[in-house]
Amino acid sequence: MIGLGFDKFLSRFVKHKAAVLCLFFVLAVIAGGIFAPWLAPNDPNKIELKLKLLGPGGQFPLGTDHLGRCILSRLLYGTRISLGSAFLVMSFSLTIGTAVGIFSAYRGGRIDNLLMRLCDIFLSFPSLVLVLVIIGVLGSGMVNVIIGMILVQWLWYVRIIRSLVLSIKERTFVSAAKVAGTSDMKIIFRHILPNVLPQLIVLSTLDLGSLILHFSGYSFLGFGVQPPTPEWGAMIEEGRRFIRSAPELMFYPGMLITLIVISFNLIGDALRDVLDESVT
Amino acid sequence: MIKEKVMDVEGLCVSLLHRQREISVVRDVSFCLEEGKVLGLIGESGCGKSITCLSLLGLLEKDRWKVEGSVRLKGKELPYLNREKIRRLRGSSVAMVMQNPISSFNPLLTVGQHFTETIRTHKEVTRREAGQIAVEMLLKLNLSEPEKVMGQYPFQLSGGMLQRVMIAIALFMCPHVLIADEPTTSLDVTVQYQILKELAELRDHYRTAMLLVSHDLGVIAQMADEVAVMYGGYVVEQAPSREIFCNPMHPYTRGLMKSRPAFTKDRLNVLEGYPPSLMKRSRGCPFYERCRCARKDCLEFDMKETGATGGHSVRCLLYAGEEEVKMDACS
Ligand SMILES: Nc1ncnc2c1ncn2[C@@H]1O[C@H](COP(=O)(O)OP(=O)(O)OP(=O)(O)O)[C@@H](O)[C@H]1O
Ligand SMILES: [Mg+2]
Repeated sequence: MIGLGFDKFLSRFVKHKAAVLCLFFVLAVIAGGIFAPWLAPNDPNKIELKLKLLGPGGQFPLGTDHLGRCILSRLLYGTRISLGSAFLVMSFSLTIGTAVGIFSAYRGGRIDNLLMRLCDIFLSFPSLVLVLVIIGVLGSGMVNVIIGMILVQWLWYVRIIRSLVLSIKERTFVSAAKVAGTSDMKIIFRHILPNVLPQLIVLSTLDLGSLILHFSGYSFLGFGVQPPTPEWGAMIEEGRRFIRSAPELMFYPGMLITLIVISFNLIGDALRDVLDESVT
Repeated sequence: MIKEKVMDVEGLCVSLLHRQREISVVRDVSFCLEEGKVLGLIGESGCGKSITCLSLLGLLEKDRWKVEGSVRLKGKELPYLNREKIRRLRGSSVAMVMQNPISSFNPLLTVGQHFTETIRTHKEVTRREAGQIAVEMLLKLNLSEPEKVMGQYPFQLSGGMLQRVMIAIALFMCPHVLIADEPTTSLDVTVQYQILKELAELRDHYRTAMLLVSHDLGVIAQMADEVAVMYGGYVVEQAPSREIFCNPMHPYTRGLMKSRPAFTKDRLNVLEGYPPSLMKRSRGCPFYERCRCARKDCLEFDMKETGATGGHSVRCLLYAGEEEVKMDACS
């Protein structure tokens, strides 16, 4: 993507129509979250039992939930937490994973071996179990779930980034830079990092979807966001009790999560195609 | 003119650490490079030429390779244990030109970025000054339109041009020693000779000592003042260029000279067989299996130098002791 030039990259990406559509959808949702205070028609937490379980229309475009809160407003505010936490987990775990992965691969030797065995041990557990253990130690709550997810997620990135760096490190131009006396830092930042960046972008886009899903999952299980904070997973959980009388309580947030996850996957796939094309 | 020793390599041994075993790749190699002179290093693929070059630069990773021996630059031992010091020497005092110019450049950076990066590693200059130095160097290597070249990406240039750029990058600090590991192997013949010509001119101009690695006898004949022939990790024969081409002593060198294509109708003599694999290297002469005049005691031979007369040294039992042998008998 960097070697490709931005306009060329764009013209190739635009060919993937579905991905472009998804990109607009994701951007719209993100904008909705950012501008929620202006866009939301009502206070997301204002309980008005008289107005519970209203159908769509009027003051409440998507109706109200079992406590009479505006569903649309809750969805908009929920975006901030659901997407925000996923981005947070992604950026922290990716940064830590990249730093450690590059260090490990570049240094090699005993430290590298030790780190990889450590990763092996932790990655042999399903990540759900690991996060639950961490939550068990730290207690539940949104911040702890985020910390738990970061602690587990970065291990995956260390692995992947290490293998990416190992393959770049063996390329002749890295030896050529070493031969010319270039310092390790410069080699890492000018030669190695830019060459793994495209793969990192694809990887993180694909993973964002699953992070959103996971985070909502923890809220659904009752570990993450505590009521009355609006969050998609928590909203599904609250709506669960009214699945017969008011299925839309689960439908709206569920649909949103599904669409977002699909969107991130399609965008990631398209990015990968575009970048692969540029390699071959 | 007084000959000045620039680099002095003595008893260089390199072994690969593999599953608690040490596999020796370069064995007891000694040579010295003189100011303004070219030492040609020749030998079959896999005999350890590139590893020798990399070990001189201190570029072999310590946890995979064991390097012994002494390398002195202008009389001073090279500080291989100090990563930072040896890094500063690379590219400034000891420079190297790599075999494959096209893959030696990062596809994401322009030629200019490569050049200025290296200049700014070794000299405290601004980006602009570095650019000027680069353009001057490129002009010296007969690259037309250096400004345009500086802004181009590696894939926009030909192999020959990239090799010139790499030589320019290697030489801007006027290094004492230039190591050229098969600098022309991947280029076509006309470009190859232009580049060799330029290398020769630059060597005269900067009085750089050069180690030229090649498996092309023609290149060596054209460029080298002295030739070292390598086989199975040993330098089996070393002599001034003329001497080695007129009077090769080691059976391997002779085979090599004979397998050189000439414009005659005779059939080409080819060295039979393959060099022994790394894992199988044992005591005795590594050339034993392919040698026409092999004897039993060759397997016990410790590969010490056997004859060294008039700067012509060789490691072969044929020349051991008083048996100043009937060379023609087995050639
Ligand atoms: N990174 C490495 N790991 C393991 N073995 C290696 C490595 N690099 C080289 N070798 C081995 O060391 C031996 C010497 O290799 P070297 O690259 O020095 O050969 P060479 O003489 O330069 O050959 P060529 O003419 O093909 O370049 C070879 O047998 C090779 O298999
Ligand atoms: Mg080689």
